[in-house]
Amino acid sequence: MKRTTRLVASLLAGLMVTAALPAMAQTETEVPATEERIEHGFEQLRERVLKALDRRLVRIDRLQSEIKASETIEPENAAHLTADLSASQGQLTALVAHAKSATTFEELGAIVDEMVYEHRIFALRTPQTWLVLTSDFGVSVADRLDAAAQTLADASARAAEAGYDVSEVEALIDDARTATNEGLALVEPVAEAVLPLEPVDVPDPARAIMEEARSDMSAGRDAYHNARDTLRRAAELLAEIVGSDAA
Amino acid sequence: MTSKGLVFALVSAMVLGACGGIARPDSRAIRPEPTVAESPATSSGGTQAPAIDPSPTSTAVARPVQAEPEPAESSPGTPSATVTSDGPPSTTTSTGESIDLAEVRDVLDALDALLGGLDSHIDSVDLEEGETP
Repeated sequence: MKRTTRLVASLLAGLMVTAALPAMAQTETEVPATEERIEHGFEQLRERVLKALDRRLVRIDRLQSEIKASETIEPENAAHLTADLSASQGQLTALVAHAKSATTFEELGAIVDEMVYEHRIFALRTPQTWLVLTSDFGVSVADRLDAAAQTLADASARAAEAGYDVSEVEALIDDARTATNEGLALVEPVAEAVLPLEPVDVPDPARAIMEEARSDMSAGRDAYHNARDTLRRAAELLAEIVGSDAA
Repeated sequence: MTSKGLVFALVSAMVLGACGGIARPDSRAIRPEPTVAESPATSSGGTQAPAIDPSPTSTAVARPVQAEPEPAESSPGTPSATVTSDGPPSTTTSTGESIDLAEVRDVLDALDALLGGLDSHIDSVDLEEGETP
């Protein structure tokens, strides 16, 4: 009886060990596989972070080139934008080195947070730069419209001295000057409105301010087009009056 | 009108038709005038506003001179059609200053290009671009 009992016990023990062996073997192979997957995921995340940093650095480079190439941007506005962009460029470059040496997900997460929330290259710096460039360019367009109106006014004055009735031409030139001033009043304040915006202002109030700025730029452009069309009508009328087909 | 005057007036009218200028009936045209830029040059627009004054400049181009009907046959107060042409200086005593509207057209064409540039600038403002890594 004792032998039988011992045999059964031995069999049960053997069965239990046999049943447990495959599970034990599986666990031993899964541990390295999981670690490998985690390591692989970490490297993938690192690559994404580095690409995201590179995209921002490329964008900064382009914006700086646009500022440098602009013939119309106000020097103080250019200096303001360039300083902000250069600061971000330096800090993002440092983050690249940090990302390459990071060893934990937490470190990469912190890098992403800093990259996005402390610089806002796409949501703020890019449209901000374009709005300032556009505003200052728009001011220069007003200068050119004024110069064109003066050129036409001078021609009209000569025709008047020659005895022609140019009152309608002069009225059109006045209308064009009024439209130019309306456009300038919309376009000029844009740079001043968006320049002070910082990453902490995103999304509010930066979003609303920049939307309004863009809307003003579009309205200013429409006023400029109106001024240009009016000047063209004035030139055509003057040409008609003096019998010239030059215009 | 003498036959000489008639021929002169006819030639003037033909040249006028070809060039399209008008004259101011004053007596300034027979002497060289310094060219004065009529629009301030700005450093911003990329194009310079052309001066409308076609009076002689410092370049080597022959100075335009005025050909017009004999003064005695021009009625006072009536615009006299005068054109510019190249040639030796005239001894005409009463001449005019032409108005070259082609210059005005050039200024307006330059404005078209500037406004196109402004359109491109405004189109570059994209507020929808996200900050997603």
